[in-house]
Amino acid sequence: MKTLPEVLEEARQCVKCGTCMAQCPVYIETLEEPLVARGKLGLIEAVSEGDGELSKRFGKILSQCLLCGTCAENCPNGIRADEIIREARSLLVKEKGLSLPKKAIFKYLLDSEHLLNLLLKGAASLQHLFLKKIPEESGLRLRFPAPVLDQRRLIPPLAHDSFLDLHTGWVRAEKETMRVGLFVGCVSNYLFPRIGRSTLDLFLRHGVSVYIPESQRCCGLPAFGSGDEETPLSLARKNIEAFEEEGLENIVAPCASCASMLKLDYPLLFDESDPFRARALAFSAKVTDASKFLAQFFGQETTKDRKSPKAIRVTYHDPCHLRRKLGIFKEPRDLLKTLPGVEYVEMREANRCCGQGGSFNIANYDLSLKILGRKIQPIEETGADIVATACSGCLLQLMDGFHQQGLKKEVRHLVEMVDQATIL
Amino acid sequence: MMDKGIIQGIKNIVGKENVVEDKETRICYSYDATNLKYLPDLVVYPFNREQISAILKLANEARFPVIPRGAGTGFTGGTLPVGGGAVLVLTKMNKILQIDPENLLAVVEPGVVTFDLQKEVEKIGLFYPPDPASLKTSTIGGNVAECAGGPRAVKYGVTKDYVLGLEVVLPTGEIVSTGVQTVKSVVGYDLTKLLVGSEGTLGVITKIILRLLPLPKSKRTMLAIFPTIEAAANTVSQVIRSKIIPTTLEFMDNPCIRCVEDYLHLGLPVEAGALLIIEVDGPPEVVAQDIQEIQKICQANQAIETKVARDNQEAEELWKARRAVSTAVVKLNPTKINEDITVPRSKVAEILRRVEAIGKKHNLIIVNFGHAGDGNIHVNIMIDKRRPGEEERAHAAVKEVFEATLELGGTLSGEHGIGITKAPYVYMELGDMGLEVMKRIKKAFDPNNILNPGKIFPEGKAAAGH
Repeated sequence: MKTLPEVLEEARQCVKCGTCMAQCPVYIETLEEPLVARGKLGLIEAVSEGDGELSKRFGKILSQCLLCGTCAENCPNGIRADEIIREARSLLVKEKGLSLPKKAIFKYLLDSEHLLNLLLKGAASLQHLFLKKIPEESGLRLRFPAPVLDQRRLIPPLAHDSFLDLHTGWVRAEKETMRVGLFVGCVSNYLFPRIGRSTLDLFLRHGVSVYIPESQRCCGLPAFGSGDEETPLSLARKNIEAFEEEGLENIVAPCASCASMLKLDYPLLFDESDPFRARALAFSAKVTDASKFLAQFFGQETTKDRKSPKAIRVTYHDPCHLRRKLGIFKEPRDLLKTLPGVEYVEMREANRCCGQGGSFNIANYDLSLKILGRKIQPIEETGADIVATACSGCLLQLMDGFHQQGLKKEVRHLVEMVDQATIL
Repeated sequence: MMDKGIIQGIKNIVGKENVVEDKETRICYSYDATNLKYLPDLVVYPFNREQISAILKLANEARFPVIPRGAGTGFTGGTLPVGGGAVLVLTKMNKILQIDPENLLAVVEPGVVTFDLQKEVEKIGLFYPPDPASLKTSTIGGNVAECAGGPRAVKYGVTKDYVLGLEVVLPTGEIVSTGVQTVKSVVGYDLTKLLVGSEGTLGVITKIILRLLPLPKSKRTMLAIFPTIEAAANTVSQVIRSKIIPTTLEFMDNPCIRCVEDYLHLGLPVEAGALLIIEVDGPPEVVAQDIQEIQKICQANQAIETKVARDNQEAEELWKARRAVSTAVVKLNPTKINEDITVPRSKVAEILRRVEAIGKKHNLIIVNFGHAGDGNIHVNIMIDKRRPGEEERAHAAVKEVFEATLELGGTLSGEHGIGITKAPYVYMELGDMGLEVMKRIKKAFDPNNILNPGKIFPEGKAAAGH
């Protein structure tokens, strides 16, 4: 974790040219300076110099950032405003503590041994009491007002059996050529076990044996993005230990956000002096996003010759964590283009953030929907039946958006698409 | 600090959700691209001319400063609230009201982003040429208030050449329309031209009528590298003499080339004296001929290398060096004192020689790039404020650069305006009487000095520009 003077020095590098205003998805919707990177960096600078306080308003302004990294990608001076803003959030948490709901969720649910599992298990059987089914759609909606969630929001039902209830330990491929560890991720585990299942099946079909540690936990990103560094540190230790024993060469995560957290952020959590840091670095070096990993099986060989009667039109949305953090954008497209029965169309501004932004969309739901609106328009222009993506946050956000606008379009995880199109 | 009653009055005008008092928001409106800081007392988001008019009337009664602001990307502090007061943020008045292909004009609100307007008019084959480097973020209102230029000025001129008329709220609150929707008009004083470039001191612009052109059918881009500044300058002169007016004629000097090469590794020869990027536009046949002829002129002037782009992608490659220069030079020293002097085209080589001598004399790093085609040179003095005496030496150098510019028949600012950073020097160009006439005009428009006080005219603390 960085110290205040270090964060200040980084914020000071901003020369206030304003280039980020043309790029920031939040600024474009609001046209107010506190919402753009330049404003936030100016404010962080002023507060760290003692010209301002760690006020509630300061916290609110810091929270109004998606951490999408679009500003950093376009900054002429190469300033990583997204990282500086996250660091400022963590300084604020250190001084003022987490808000109560976040504390409850991060500390007691994500980080506890069995509580989350138990609670979600209970909720899966009781969800019909709190949530009502929406006719003809696969989602649910809140029956009663809830303190943090907006009532308009579409909520995917919890799976009766989580992925990790059904699959743990070694699952061996028939003709094993490789071994990997699978990091499932919470959304895939609790809401869409089919994503985990597709990943597993695809690997097995390609001779890859899969190790699924039962003790793996949340990657910690929701807490990390909110400025909580204790919870992710504790989760990181558990996850690193969970994957250590089997001597794996590769650890694959189907969710881009998890992959980015495991690969890029875990090493940051441990101080130079922490003996655990070496283990974190070794772990992070092994992590790969699923699309990049799968590309080695599909990259060259085209499966297009398998004739399909009617092609479905598919477009692809770049998750920020995949494109801007991990720098992966070619592999997912290459994969989709090779699939039989798929007509791939590129959308305009495919790398525009969908507006989910972790806790951003809970605290700023209306703004999040506006940003999403600008994402959905180019999707509609493509006339695609399916939008493929590779991040669970984007998946939830796009589903909600299609539902809100009454669009009959599907959102699918890339690995599901690849699995189903190549099953024969 | 502003009185509670006044703030309530402003809330009654624009609605309380559009008035922000908290310090955190005010900090976010305390700077512009100069990175200088002055805290406003209040931030106001108006939505129409009536609200602005009512605010200005209130300001004259209660005597508080009002500072109009667009995107805040100016380089001279034109939108800094040097004496506190209310910042009037016009970014939300951002509608394109009309695009008229028959009369070749557009009517827009001040908050429209310049690039957005260009994209819209280009969809129907029309063209709004002014292209300041900030065009993707800066607003038309800000461009008009500062009379923004850009690389295309060589052929197409600057913002003032495209403003046909304005709707303006005067500092005293009355609303007037200036100018016309026609190409010709001689009815009284040309208030439109007076308001363009007045840096928000004479009125708040609420509507702008802009002249458009047909979009040129094609464009060619080339890059040429020269052993010396003189060779590049001679090329520029010869191109103009041969009756070709390029769309852009950009140049970078040797220190710029070195910085960019260090930064991007494009394979530029670091010993080269200067680099030119030349663009021509028009019908494809003409453009093909022009670019060939320019290439010949470059070669006749000892060009080490010339490259003509075959397509847009190659053109973008050629632009890479020029676009990276602002960023790359910051690696030399953290603070950039950025002047935008302009001299007659024929004096470009001469002024660069003099600037180099001034740099040597004061032991300062000075790098030059900019718009050779119209004589507009960005002279950047790169300093580290932490080194004692360096800032003072830089200010002395700036003054000498201005003296040299004026001696050669040039002007202190081509496209950035005066604001607060150049205010201490305006007398050098305007003279006492010139300055006095302008002060009288300001007084006639704004008797109580309400609107954007402390700009253009040197006064008190603001003149020091800190």
